[in-house]
Amino acid sequence: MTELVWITLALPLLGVALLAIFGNKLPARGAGLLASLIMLAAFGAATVALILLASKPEDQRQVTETAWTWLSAGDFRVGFDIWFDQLTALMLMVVTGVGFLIHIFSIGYMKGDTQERRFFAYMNMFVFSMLVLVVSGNLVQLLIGWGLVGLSSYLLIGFWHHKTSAVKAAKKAFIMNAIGDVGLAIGIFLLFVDLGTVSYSGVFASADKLSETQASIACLLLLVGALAKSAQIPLHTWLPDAMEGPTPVSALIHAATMVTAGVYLIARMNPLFFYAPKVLDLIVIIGVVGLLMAGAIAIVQTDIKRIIAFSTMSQIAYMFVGVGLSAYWAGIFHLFTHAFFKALLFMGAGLVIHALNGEQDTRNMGGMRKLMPKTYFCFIIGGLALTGIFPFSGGFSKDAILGAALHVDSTIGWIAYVGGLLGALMTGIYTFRLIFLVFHRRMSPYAEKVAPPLIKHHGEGPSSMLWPVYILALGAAFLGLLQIPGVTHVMSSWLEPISPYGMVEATASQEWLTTLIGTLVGVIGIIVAAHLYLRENDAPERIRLGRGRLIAHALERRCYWDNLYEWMFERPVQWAASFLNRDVDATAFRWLPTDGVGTITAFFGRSVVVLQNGIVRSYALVFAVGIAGFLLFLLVRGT
Amino acid sequence: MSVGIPMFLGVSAILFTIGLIGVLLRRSPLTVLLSLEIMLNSVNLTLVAFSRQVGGSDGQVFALVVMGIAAAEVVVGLGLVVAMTRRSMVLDTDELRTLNG
Repeated sequence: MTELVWITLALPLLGVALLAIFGNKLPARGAGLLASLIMLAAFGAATVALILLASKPEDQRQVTETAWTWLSAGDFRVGFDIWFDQLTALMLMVVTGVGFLIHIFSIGYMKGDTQERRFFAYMNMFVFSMLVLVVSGNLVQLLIGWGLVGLSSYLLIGFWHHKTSAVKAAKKAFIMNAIGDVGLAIGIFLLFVDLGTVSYSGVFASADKLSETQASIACLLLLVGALAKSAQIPLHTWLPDAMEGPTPVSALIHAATMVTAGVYLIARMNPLFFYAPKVLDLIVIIGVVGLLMAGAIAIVQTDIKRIIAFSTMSQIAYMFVGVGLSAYWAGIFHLFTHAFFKALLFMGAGLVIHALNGEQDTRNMGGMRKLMPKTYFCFIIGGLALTGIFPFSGGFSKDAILGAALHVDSTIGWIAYVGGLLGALMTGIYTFRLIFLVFHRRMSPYAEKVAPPLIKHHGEGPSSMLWPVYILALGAAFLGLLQIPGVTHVMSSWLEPISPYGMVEATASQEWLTTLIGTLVGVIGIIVAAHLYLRENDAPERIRLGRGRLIAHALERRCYWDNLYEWMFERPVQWAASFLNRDVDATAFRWLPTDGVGTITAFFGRSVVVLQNGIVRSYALVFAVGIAGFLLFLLVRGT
Repeated sequence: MSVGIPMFLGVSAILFTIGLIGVLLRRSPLTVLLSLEIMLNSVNLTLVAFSRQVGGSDGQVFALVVMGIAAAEVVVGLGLVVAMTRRSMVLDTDELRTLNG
C-alpha cells in the first residue's frame, strides 16, 4: 500500500523530468497527453491505495514510512517520510483526480500555445509539490512542499511572461506566500525548541506538554502560513490577481492544490490546535469576516474569473470556519466538494472565454445560453452546488459546517452560524449574477461578433475540454450524497479518527434545519440576483451611484486592502529611497563632484586593483609570505 | 643506525623549499606544475613519517588521497598546457595575465 503512495508521489516528478529533458523531441500535443497520462496513473495508484486503506481495520488505518533520513543529530531526525491516513488518502484523491481532469482540459485549452511543453511540465510540478506537502510525515518536509507549491504557482501565474500584469501578479503571489512561509518556518522552529521534534507523531504525542501560551504562539505562526497559502484575510490580496495565469492554472490553484493547503494544515495539526482554543476562535472569526467580505466583493466584480476567485476565497473561509469550530471533517468535506464544483466553474468559464477569443469581462458577454447549452447546463449545476442548494454537493458540505456551528452553541458558534447564512445569501447573489450576466440577457455587441463564428467552427469546445466538465458536473451534483444527515455518514466516519480529541458533528435534526434555512437563503439570493440582473435594467447602476455608492466604491476597490498595503509598505520604502537619494546623497556628499557614494566606492576600488595584477607568481609569493609570517608568529608566541 | 623523524622532516622541508622556489621563480607552466608536485610529495613524506611514528595508518591513507587529488590536478594542468600550445600561446606565466584588474 505504501508503495502505491510512493508511486503516486513519484509519477508527477517523473513527468516533470521527462518533459524537461525530452520535451523538445515531443510533438506539442504529446506533452499534454504525456502529462495527463501520468496524472491518470497517479490517480489510479492513489485510488488503489485508498481502497487498500479502507479495507484495513479501522485502528490500523494510519501508516508511516521513511524513505531515507536527511538529517540526524542526537535524538533529532528529519527524513523523507510519508504519513498515510484517512486525510492523506482523501487529499491524494482530490489532488490527483481533479488534477487529472484539469490536465485533460488543458490539452484543449492550451492548444496552439507555443509553450505547451513548459506549461505541462509546470502543471505536473505543481501537482508534485502539493503531493509532497500532503503525504509528508514531518513538518520540515511539509515546509518543503509548501515552498514548492509557492514556486510552482509563481511559474504558472506568470506563465504568459510577456504580459506585465501577469509578471506582477506572479510576484505578488510569491511575496505574499513567502510571508506565510516565514511564519510557518518560525512556527516549526518554535515547536522544535519547545518539543525537540518536528515529526507529526512526535509533536502530537507531546503537545500536551506545551503551556497554552506556547501552543497558541506556535499555532498562530502556523496559521500565518495557512492564511497566506489559503488566501485569507489579511494575506489574501494575491488570489484575485492570480487570474492572470491561464484558466486551467486558476482551476488547479483553486480546486485541487494550493489554496486548500491551509485548511489541510489546520486539519492535520488538529491535535496541536486543540491546545490553543483561542487560536481556533480566531480562525473562525477570520473565516467569518473573510467569507462575508469576499462574498460582498464578488458581487461587484466584472471579470468572470475574478468573480470566481473571490468566491473561492469566500468558500475557503467557510472551510476555515469549519476547522476552527473543530468540525475538521466538515471543513475537509467542503474542501472535497468545493474542488469539484470550483474546478467545474473555472472550466466552464474557460469554455466561455475560449468561445469569446480570450475575453474575460462579463460586460462583453451575455446571451451565451443559446450558443453554449452544454456549458450553460454544467455551469448551472456548479452554481447550484456553490450556492448550497439542497440536493447538490455544496449544500451538504456547507450545511455540515453551519450545522456544526449551531451544535457548538457558543458566541463564536452563533457568529459563525449567522455569518455563514449571510454569506450563503451573498453566494446566491454573486453566483447567479455571474450566470445571468454571462448566459442570459441580451448578447453584447462584442460577443455577437466573435462568438457565433467560433462556435460554428468548433462547437462549444473540443471533447478534451467538454468531458472533464461533464465528469466534474456529475461530482458536483452527487458527491454530497456521501453525507446525508442521518442517512449516510461516509465522510464523518472516515475522517473521525484523524482527530484524537473528537470532532464536532451536528445532530441530524440540526443539520436538516440548517439545510432548510441554507437552501431558503440561497434561493432568496438567486431571486435577488434574478431581480437585479436577469433582464437589463438600471437598478444595479442606480444603487451603485446612489445610496450604495460608498459601499460600492469600497467593494470595487476590494475593501482597500491593496491601497492599505501600498500605504504601509510601498510608499514608505519609496519615500526612504528618495530621501536617501535626494537628501543624504546629494547634501552630505556635496563636496564630491558627482554622485557621492558611487565616487567613494570607485576610489577605494581603484586603490586596491593593483593587487590583482594577473601574474600567478606574485599571488603565490603573497601566499608563501603570508603562511611563512603566520608560522613565524606561532613560533615566536611559543605555542 | 636508524633514521629518526627529524631526518624525514629535514628532507621534507628541503623538498618543500625547492618546490616553492621553483613555483616562485620559474615561468614555464610545465616547470611550475613539476614544482607543485615536489611540494605535494614533500608533504606526503611528512604525513607518512608521522604516521609511522604514531603507528596508525591514517596518515598513509591521507597521503594516498593527496596523490589521487594531485594526479587529477596534473591532468587539468597538463590539459591546459596542451590547449595553450595548440592555440600557439606563449608558455610564460607572466605573459598570461588577461585576468588582471
